[in-house]
Amino acid sequence: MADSEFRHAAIVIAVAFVAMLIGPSLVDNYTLTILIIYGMLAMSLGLIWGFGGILCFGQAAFFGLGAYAYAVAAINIGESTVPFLLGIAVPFAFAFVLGAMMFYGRLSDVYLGVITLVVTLIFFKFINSTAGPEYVIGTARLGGFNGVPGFQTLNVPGYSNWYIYDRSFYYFCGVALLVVYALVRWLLASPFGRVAIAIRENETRVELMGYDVRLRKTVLFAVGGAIAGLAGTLFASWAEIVTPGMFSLAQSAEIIIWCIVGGLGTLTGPVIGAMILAFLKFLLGQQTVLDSTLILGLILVLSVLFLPRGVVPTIGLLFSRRGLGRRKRVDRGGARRRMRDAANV
Amino acid sequence: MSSVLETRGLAMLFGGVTAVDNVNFRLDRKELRCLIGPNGAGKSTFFKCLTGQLKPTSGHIFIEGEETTGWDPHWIARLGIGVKTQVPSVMDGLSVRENIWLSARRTHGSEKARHLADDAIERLDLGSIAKSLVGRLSHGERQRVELGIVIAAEPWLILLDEPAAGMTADEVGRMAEIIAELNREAAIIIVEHDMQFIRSIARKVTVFSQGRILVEDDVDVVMRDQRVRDVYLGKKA
Repeated sequence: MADSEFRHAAIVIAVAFVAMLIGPSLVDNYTLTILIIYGMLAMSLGLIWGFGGILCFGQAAFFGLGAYAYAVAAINIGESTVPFLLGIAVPFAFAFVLGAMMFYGRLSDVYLGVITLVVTLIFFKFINSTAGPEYVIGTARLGGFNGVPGFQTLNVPGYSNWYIYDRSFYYFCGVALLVVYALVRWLLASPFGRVAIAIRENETRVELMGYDVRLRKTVLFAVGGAIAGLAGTLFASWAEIVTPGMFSLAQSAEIIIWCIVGGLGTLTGPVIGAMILAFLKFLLGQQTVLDSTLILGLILVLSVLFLPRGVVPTIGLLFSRRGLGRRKRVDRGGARRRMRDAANV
Repeated sequence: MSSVLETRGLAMLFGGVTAVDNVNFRLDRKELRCLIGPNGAGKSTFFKCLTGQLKPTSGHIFIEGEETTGWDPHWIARLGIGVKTQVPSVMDGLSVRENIWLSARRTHGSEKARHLADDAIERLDLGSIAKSLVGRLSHGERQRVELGIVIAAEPWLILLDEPAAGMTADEVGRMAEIIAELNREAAIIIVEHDMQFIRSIARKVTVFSQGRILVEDDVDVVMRDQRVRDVYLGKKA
């Protein structure tokens, strides 16, 4: 089992690496980079929702928090290494505290959704209202609805004039996504990850085994927050401005849709879902005949109706069915097991 | 004999309903005790107070002399107590082996946990389905998997809520054997409805009725008791 998971992960990384090298010859770097960043954002929710069973409506809060932490720190510090780390650490710490409050307070399901949603809204409202000159952190003005522009973008550590931009920034984001993917795969294969999945399956049982469910959910939630924060940090360098829109409900909802369409319970699913839908939105944004949100809504409805497991698990199933079809027809139990295996990408 | 589990004046109220009413209960080391009683007598509520799934309204619970009233379930489990719930509480999306392995893994390293899991799988004769997903198994098999989860943690006190419910006659017989074997190492409390099953395993029986302990005596005495027959047939005791 562990061997096959390792093989899956190795294949995914190899294929993704090749795709990363081919990508720039098909689509421009600027667009590809944002697709990768959205992919990472989707993976953060795919981890806590698909493997931890925690449906967070406010993943955008950590995304925005990471971006603002980076931008504010970059204005104050200049060189980007410390801001980059803060962009991960601040959302991690915030998610840890928020998660501890929710899980130690025994909130679950719909209440969890409501709290995370409201936290995102509070961020959105608050940041929007910080246009006045009194809202300053160090030398950085929060700028309200105008956002924070003009900060140092990512540079090679130690060399603040040596910027990582364009093609090299694209590769940086691509490698970051692969590294995060590998780390998350490793986490899920570790005993911590196995227990996290067990909690998703049956929280009461895991508790009766003697595991501290609340602490484990809090840690997993915080890891999800850190990954979303990293995506936000990269977004800040990509856009060269951070705005309150990052905290918006539309952004939060979009992350959930990416996960559903791509395939929950897998890691590659949400990433691919995000890339497909974000690219589609980008293409649709170039025309004025149809409203792009309308089309995306239609895709969500159709995919829930016809691909309830999501794109990636369905494709995985088709492949394994073709492979095994040559041998012999298999029983229904086998089909379900393969579905599980295929989902284990 | 020293008692490993004791409750004093334990009570549990749900709004205006008193589910458990001033229960004083003692269990000796390596004792096997059955809790019986009609539906709604408070057996399962009492059971959940012991495991920490419910916090009693008043009264005290002591496990090996230590007061555990109001503790969280995972702390109580860490004392070395294995719990099997009424509806099989298993992890459907994981394999039988992984279900059992996770239980052993909490206190042991991966390697030792694997041995304990293998051992439990063998004892419960789950070898042929060890790699199956638990969600696909029959009710009786799931009951056994849950028992495997319990014994892999090597508990010294085992709480079983209706272990024979919904099982075939053969499976019930096998369950009785397994329980007898476990009882050599651990004290066991069993909540059960199946009189046949109780007769085959029990020595001492506690009868609950309307939240209180009605009788507590040897199984044969309890079976002959007119009050016990009355509460089971629904007459006023």
